Amino acid sequence: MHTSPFRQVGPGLFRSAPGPAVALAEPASGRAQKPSTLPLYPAVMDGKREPAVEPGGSETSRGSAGPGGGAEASPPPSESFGPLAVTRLRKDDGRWLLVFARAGEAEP
Amino acid sequence: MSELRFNELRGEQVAYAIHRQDRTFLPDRAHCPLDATRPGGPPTEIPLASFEIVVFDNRFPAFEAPAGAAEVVVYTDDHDASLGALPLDRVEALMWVWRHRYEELGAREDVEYVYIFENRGVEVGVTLHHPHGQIYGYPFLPPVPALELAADRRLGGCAPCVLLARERADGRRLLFENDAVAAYVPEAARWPYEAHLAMRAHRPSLADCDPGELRLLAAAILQLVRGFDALFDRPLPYVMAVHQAPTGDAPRAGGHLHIEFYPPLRTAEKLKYLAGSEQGAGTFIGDVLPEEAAAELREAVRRAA
Repeated sequence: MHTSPFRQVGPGLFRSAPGPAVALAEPASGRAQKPSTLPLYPAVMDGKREPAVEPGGSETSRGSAGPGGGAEASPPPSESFGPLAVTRLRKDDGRWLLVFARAGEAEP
Repeated sequence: MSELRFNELRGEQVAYAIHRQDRTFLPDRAHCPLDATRPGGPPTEIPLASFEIVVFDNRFPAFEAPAGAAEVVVYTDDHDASLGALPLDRVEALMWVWRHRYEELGAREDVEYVYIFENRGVEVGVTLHHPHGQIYGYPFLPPVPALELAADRRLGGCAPCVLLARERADGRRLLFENDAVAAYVPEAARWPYEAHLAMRAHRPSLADCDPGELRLLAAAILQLVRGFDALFDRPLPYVMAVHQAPTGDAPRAGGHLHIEFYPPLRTAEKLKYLAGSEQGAGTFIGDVLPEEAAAELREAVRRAA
């Protein structure tokens, strides 16, 4: 009998089953981990926003879609990331546009 | 919405994104969708008169929520520039942009692997000449990073760390290095002038690098890409593949930030095709010994400096 290492997670969509653990060096603290502590912004799916998820929210509520990310009703117009200022704009068709500029330089 | 099907014989996913069949294909100079929107000009994907770096959802995504992501990263508003032609400060900023996207996409429930890449040149299928890269957030762990995790297990530790130590001890295929990054042609390169940039210290991802390392990574990228263009005295097509730690729940360990470049040319005018052996048997047949390619690339990097 054929058995796929992938489990179906939706119509036509599969997700890889968990693989064996790999023992390596300690992950550094800055590595991306879930749940995110990053600010999350509303996702746009079929013209609707997903339910809001607070940054640092629960394991089951984390994550969302688009460069807009996940949750807060009113995303701040700009945020800092390293030496960059990040501005999130919504395009007319609902897609997100992130504008990165050196902090202190002209923003849109 | 794309559809994933599992190819049992290959043991891998195949993604069908049939809406991409209609994507913009090599538009003329006046209708580049990645240009800034000039006052009085046609609207583009970027409704700004000028910009430094922007990221947006791909209009023709291979993956999209709730099963992944596909983004476009535009490096500059200068249509005629290229990654290698950008100043160091801009490429350093690009490292931070990549890090931002790795962290944010990697935090999503539906993204198992964040893959940053650039296709440069029509030889590798680029459809827009404006300097840009892409990011795919795969809803599964793709085969190549899965193989890298398998190499970790085979070598008993971080494979890129082990391989970099070997390359530095051997020295014949090293191209250059700075305090954070080493460039080399791998011992078993699959492409004639394939080259890798690897973090010298174990850094699973961009998120693990300090600001100084990100700037040195940017400098190394520039040094290598400019060397590529000097190799045959022409803009060298390539695929640039940024490999980092998976972000999914399954393999929480493993991964070492390195960037692989696959130029498809074997001479200034001849392409290396993936033909019968490569496609049907999975075995690359090399036309250039990696040691000889490294010597040529070292000289090209020197000329470009």
